[in-house]
Amino acid sequence: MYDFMALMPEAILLFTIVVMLMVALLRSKNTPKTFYTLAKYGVLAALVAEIALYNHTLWLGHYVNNPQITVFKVVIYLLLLGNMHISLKWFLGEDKSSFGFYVLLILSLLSLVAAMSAVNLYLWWGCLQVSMLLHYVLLRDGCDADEQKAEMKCLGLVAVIYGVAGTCGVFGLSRLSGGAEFAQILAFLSQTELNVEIYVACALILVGLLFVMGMPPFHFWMSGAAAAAILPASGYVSVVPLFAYYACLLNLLESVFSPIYMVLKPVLLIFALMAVVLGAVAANNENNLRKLFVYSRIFVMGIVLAVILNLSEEAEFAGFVFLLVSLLAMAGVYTIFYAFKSKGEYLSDLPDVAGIAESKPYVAAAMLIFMTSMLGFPPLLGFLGAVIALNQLVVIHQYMVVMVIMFGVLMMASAYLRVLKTMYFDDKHKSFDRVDKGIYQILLVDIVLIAVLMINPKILLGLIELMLK
Amino acid sequence: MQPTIPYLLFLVLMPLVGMLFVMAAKDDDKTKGTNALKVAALAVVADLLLIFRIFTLISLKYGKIQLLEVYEWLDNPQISLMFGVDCFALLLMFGVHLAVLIGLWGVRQEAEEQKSRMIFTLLFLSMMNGFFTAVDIFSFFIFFEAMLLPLYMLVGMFGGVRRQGALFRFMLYNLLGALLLLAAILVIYNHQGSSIALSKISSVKLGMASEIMVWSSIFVAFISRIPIWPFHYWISSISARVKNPLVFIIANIVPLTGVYGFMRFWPKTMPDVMIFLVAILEVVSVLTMLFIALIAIINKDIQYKVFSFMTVYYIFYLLGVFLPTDQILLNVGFAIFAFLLIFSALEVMLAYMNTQQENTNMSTEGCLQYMPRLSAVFTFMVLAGIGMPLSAMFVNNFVIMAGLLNYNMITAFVALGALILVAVALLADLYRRKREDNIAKNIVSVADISTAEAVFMWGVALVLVLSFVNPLWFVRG
Repeated sequence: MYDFMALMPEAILLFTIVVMLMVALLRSKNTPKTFYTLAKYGVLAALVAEIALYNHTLWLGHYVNNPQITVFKVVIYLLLLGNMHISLKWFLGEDKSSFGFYVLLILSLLSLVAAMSAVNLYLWWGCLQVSMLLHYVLLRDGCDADEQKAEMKCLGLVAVIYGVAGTCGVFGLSRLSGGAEFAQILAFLSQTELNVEIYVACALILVGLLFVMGMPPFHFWMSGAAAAAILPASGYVSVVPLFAYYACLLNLLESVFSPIYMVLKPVLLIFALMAVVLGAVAANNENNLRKLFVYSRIFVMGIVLAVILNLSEEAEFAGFVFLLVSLLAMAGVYTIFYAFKSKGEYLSDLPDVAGIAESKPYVAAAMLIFMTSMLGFPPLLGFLGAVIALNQLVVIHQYMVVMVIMFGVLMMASAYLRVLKTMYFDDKHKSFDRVDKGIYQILLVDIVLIAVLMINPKILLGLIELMLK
Repeated sequence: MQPTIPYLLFLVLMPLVGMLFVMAAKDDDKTKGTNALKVAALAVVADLLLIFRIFTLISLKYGKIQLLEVYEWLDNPQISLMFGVDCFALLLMFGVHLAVLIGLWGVRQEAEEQKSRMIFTLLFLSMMNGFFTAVDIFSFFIFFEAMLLPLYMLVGMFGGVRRQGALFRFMLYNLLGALLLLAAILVIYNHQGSSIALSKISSVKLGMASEIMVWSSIFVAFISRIPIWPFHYWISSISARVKNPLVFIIANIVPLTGVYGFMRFWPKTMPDVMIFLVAILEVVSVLTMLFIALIAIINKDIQYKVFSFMTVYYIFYLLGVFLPTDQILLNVGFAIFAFLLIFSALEVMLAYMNTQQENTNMSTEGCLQYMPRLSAVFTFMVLAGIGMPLSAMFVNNFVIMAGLLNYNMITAFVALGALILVAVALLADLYRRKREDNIAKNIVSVADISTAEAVFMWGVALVLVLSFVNPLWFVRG
């Protein structure tokens, strides 16, 4: 009944944390690279185990693995590895210990991976809350100013409120259906006449999940926290967990809420459109680059939510591809943030990077490629995602949604053009530090990946289609 | 059947390869950007040779798509890159390449940021090649949108456009057009169940509501590239104010994509929903022509006069495209070819005059008296531009106008009025620049164009004269 082999990746990750702890305690000459190396090999080993044991299920009805979930997990592992690698530059530059950061990343990965595999509402919700807590700790790390501390305290309080609300929903729904297994709740919702109690419980769970995802109108915590946090934490929280949230949302909608989906669909559509419009409009009013890209992330998630609303295999595939290509570009943007450095300080305000194209043409060119890819400009990879996503909406005759998304793209284009204008057309008024070779290497890998996938997307799409179906 | 040598793919890739070489070219205080410029010019010339070669391989008939190349890209939605050419598209490509080559000649003295300028120019040229060789809706869209980015970068970085807000609006307006086209294409694709060739798009039958939506979107998409009222201001505020000759030429090649789009998409036998749209377009077009031609008369800025000249002629050719016959389209192609060369040469010469004026504080009045070589070739270009029998514009404009008169007398007369007004504006400026009694006696340091420059410009003039004799003089038979 229990296949403990399925827990091998999680066990490896835990073992990595133990080893890191022992090294931190017993070895005196540790550098940021020490913990990075340990974490890297631990995550790599867990990734290999994850792929090898893709169809091993620990406990049917509570914790399952399948090819579909494994695809999501693999993407998260790879994004995490990239994030860990680039984060090392920051810790080496600042000469700070990376122990806590890498431990938190692995714990966060563990919680996200577990949330994706969970088919038990308690476990699912618990893992998501743990991940939220870990992200909060990660984001709080760089907040030194009193104002930022107060903001983070406020965020903590709000997170607790939403956490409690979601927990009430989870307990309420489990109590009503007589169990917490997804299949049990699904059967209950299919057979019972729906009442207010059920709707409230479901709404509380959804609100809790949307808060964790940072979707409007529950997004208010994201931009401030991402701007105040240290760059590695900001980069991680903004990019890596998105795939996990996407998987968790899909899992919830398909495996639990499908009997009430017709009621939820218009509500979710409103949230999706709100995310598209708000993300695009807010990005235009933002001068802080990190905040701007947080809004960009919200915009992307809005499109993904709109695309998957049909809950068909094609819709999920389209959502997956769109999210993947957007995140590839966004990961590139966050890598570039490491190159925005003047006199040892990382720059995050738009006016500070004015004229950077003059002295750092390759960095500016990479930013140009990533941003235009995110806008869906051909012939970049983003076009692939945009065409697949929009085509999915046209197939189901959601023309109004297409119009709203087009409006969003135009607004977002205006925000990105402002960034390009500052980088390329404005005069330089700051000197920029030498960019680490490692950053160029990562950018090159990202661009090559985008180019290869653009030239022959069938390799990637064929594989994803095979795994998802 | 796929041709043995993928000429058209080479045509698209050649500028991109050139771009890579430009990136690798040495650019320092010693070279002053000349390496980048030479590599870029070489790439354009190589592309031109390829175009010549392709001309020898195809039959010279409008609409007969040849040398078809298909490169599968996506399965769902099923998207392939499909390239093919007919004489018309190839002729326009030829014209665009020559125009860019003239533009490169115009910026050869500029040392600053030459590398970036060449990179974006070649990127733009590659996208233009893709655009003209695209024969299915998705390939067409890809290049239709992709050319916007290098355009934005060129205008923003080197155009000297001070009003960034106008540049934003210009770009967003163009992007809106591209997005509407994408939406329309996706609707058509899902209706047909597969991608569709441009030549067959006019025969697609949709429901009434879908047809209104699709055709209106396509309509706006192409209009967004041509400075027609009420959106002409956004385009004119950029295209007329660009200071760099190469960037001016590139920015003003863009309206050609709108005209070409209409030409490829527009059905000859119109569905009912479109009759109304075409009627509106015709009225708006001729009024815009008249309006812009009047401004050209009033406005003292020669840059605006050249822009007006171009806009009026683009709209005139657009009206030619709407004529319900395919016979005239090749005439439109011949005329546009000469038109591209004329405005590019004019712009490069005007940039030269501006530089001389800035260096010597010389007035515009009578300035050509100091530069007899430039004066001769400039006069030739102005006369060719207003339709004198010096280039392919003469006969072909005549044929288009005859077609218009036959189709709608009022439209034709208003268009003719606009053409005359814009010709008057150009001639008045030429007169002002050549008047002897306006010469300021104390200016002595004005430099005329060098012998090499004169030879280059007269070479362009020779091409124009040859195009007057036979627009396809370079093709045997």
